[in-house]
Amino acid sequence: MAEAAVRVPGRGDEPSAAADRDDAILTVSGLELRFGGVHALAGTDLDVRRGSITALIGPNGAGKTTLFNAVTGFYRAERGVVLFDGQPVLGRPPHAIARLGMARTFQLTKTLAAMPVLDNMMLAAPDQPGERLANVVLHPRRWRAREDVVRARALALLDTFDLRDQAYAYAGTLSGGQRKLLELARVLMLEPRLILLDEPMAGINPALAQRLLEHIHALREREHVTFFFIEHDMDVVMGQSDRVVVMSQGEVIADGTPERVSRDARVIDAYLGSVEDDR
Amino acid sequence: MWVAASAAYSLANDERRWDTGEVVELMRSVRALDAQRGRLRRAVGARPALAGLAFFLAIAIALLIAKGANAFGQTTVFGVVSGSYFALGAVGLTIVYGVLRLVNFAHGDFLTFGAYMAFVINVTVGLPLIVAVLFAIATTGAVGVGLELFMWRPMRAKGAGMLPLLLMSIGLAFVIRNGIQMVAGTGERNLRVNVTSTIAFLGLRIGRTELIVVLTSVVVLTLVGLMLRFTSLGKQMRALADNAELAEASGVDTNRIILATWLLAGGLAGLAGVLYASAVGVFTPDLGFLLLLSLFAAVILGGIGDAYGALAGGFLLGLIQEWSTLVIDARWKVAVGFAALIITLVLRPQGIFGRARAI
Amino acid sequence: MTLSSISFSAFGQAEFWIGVGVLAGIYGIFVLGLQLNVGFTGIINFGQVGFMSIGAYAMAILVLKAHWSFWLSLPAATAVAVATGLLIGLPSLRLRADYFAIATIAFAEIIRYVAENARGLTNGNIGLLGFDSSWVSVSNSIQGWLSTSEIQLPLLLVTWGLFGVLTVVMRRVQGTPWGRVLRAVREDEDAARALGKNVFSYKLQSLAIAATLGSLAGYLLALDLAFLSPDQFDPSVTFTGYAVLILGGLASYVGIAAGTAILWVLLEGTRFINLPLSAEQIAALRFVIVGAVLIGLMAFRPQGLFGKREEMVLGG
Repeated sequence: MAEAAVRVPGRGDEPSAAADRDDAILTVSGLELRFGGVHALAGTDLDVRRGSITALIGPNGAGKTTLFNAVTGFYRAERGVVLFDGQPVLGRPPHAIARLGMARTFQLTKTLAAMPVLDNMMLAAPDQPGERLANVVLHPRRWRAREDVVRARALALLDTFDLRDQAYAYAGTLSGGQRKLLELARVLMLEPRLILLDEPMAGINPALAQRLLEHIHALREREHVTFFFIEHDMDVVMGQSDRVVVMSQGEVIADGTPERVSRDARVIDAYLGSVEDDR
Repeated sequence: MWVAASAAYSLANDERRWDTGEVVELMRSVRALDAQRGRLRRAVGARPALAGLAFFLAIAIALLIAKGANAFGQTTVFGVVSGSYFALGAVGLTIVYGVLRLVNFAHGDFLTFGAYMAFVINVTVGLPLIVAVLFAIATTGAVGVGLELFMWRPMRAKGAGMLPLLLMSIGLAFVIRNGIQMVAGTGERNLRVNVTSTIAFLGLRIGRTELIVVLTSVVVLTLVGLMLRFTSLGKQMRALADNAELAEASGVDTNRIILATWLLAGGLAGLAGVLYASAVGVFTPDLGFLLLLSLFAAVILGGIGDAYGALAGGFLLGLIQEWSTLVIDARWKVAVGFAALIITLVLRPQGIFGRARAI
Repeated sequence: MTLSSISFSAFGQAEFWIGVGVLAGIYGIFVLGLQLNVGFTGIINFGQVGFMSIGAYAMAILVLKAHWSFWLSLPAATAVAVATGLLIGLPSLRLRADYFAIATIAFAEIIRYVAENARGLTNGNIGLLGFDSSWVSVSNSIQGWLSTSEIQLPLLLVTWGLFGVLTVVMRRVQGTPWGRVLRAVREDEDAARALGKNVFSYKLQSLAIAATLGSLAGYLLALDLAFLSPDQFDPSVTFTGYAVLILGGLASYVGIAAGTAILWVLLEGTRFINLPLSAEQIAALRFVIVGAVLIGLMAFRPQGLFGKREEMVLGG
């Protein structure tokens, strides 16, 4: 945490970027992370605009998931600045970052299979005093009241995501697609302002993917949630996002509207050059 | 005195070279990746290993100056003696972990089993100790293989997780130790070895049997080291320990290697049990149970899953325990070993040579 | 341990089974802590006997050496156990599960060596006596009220009363949002982190509560035997606890009562089978049974009697 605090003043030294960053909910600059000697993130710079649906694309091994992990505190970046809503977050533990309002999902869904679907949802609710042992003993009414509110919200969300019927089933019994839905619904319980989705469409059928996209758009419109998502399906990227960030070898090589990015020579190059590396 | 430890260390260094060279040969498909990883590991691993060694050298020198050459030399001799059976036991324990990801809590009781098997041949039947040793190695190895076939393999086939396997090995430890106790009783036993005559050298004393124990251990460990490094079986074992999926994908016959691993681990444990019983003079069914945590300490000092590390870790632990008697009362020496275990886990869970993977 | 000459008079049997009941209750309380750690938090604590030992010894030492009141020494000894739990947990709870298991068993063994060798405090292998006079007078008055001649009956009632209350309390706490976070930690630490939970803090709390329960079991064992010596706290206590835990079923507090009752009847029942075995052999046979129970359960019924298969997270 001390490290991050030291770096904050650095931000003021870059007035050129300041204007552009006013409407950025997430700002990443000069982020570096090495695995052994390999630069997984080689001075990554990017902005995610508030209220946007921003796609993050790039060939395999470009560092997309690594970026997510570094931004959300799961990996420790060695250098750089990450500002979420103007607050430096680098060096904070993952749970603290999640509580600030930047939530994430994982490439392989992390639904808690040995817990009922409803418990998965209620677990994610913030500000539950009953999660502190002292309150459990001393203020049973307070957490029970909160629990009622949380349960109502969880059930409402499950309704929205067509999971209401499975509320009391173990999450392990859900299908792959339903788990993706549950993970998105669960992350919403956190009441985040920014959601990082790691390949939300991977491995689910087109109908469900369509529903997921509808949810994302609706959430953006109604709740002003910003989405930043990693995606491989170019139709989804081009058709659904306002902005696209392209990474290659740990760096951002292009950034802009889908149209602009798709015409960028470096992007085309990166993708063509990577074909043989692809599995 | 440093010969064994430094031989182990140089083997450890050699292995690093092996990583870049031989793995590539074995797994062509991932040539580039592995070479990179090997280089990486070498770059990262070299310095902590040196630092660790320098640290122990510094302690050794400090003790040498503070306590005098004779006291230091004598504890060092004792340390090498206990190190020789720690190392033998630890190598088997760590190889099983490396290949199977199984922390085998019954490993200590394999040593007990070996010691009692030797007792049967050496004392009950009355044959020479060498025959007893071979019998102990063979039977303990056979127990290892048998358990693999009837217990571990079916459990793996069921996809059992870490906790069931841990608890199963603990259950097995209980059954072996107390089974032996039911048959042989809790009384102290001893093999027909000469525990009284000693050899003096430069003012240092070592029991004749102890010397034989050390020499046997060094010879066997060297053979095991060479086997792991140069034979196809050894290479496949280490490939499997390094990356099971990769090894399997590149045509390693996993089941055969696992059986060989148990045979090796069991055989070494049997030998270690006999050597312990010979060096210490008396033993009870608690032998292996009391040694188990020390074996863990040796394994973790050397980096879990790393055979050469366990070898070095065994001798290191022996030295740490015996040197500690120069500073504090000897009755604490076993606890000192456990403290070394915890400190290593907390500060360098990858082991002092810093090469074990996946912390 | 007079095994060859068991009297089958009603009196003798009642006394014997009361003794078994006390032990079973003590193990029940002991295993509540293991259940919290292993069954609900996913941390493999192999050093639970260490907390038991610290609780018992700290209590006895405070009474005998510092001349504290017995009743005051109880919470103080629990505080010592909890502090030790935090001390061992802070550095080692960040380790991988199997490393943590090894670290905790090493911790418990170090405690045992300290009990054996810090003779000024613990009397080493000679042991400690005479710390329980306050309890004995309470026990005598309970015996008076009940007008029974069974000396251990008061302890049996206190042990099972406490065990029952603690089981209810643990169950209720498990059903709160706090317990829900523990279950999330058990299953997937990263998922819990991503949802804003401070995983490390919860693991530490779990270990501290296990230490508390361990220390309670430690007092009761000390009162049961009226004597403390290091060999009462060897690792086989922890693993007998695991046999109880698995028998009852992971992630089930209620199962523990059944698990401990069944295991202890099984262990002590061996005395009534007329086996041509010596006392020593019978003692060994008991641990063969513990081992066989562990192996058999893991092989054929890993969820135990009352565990939920769906919640066998660590069972894979």
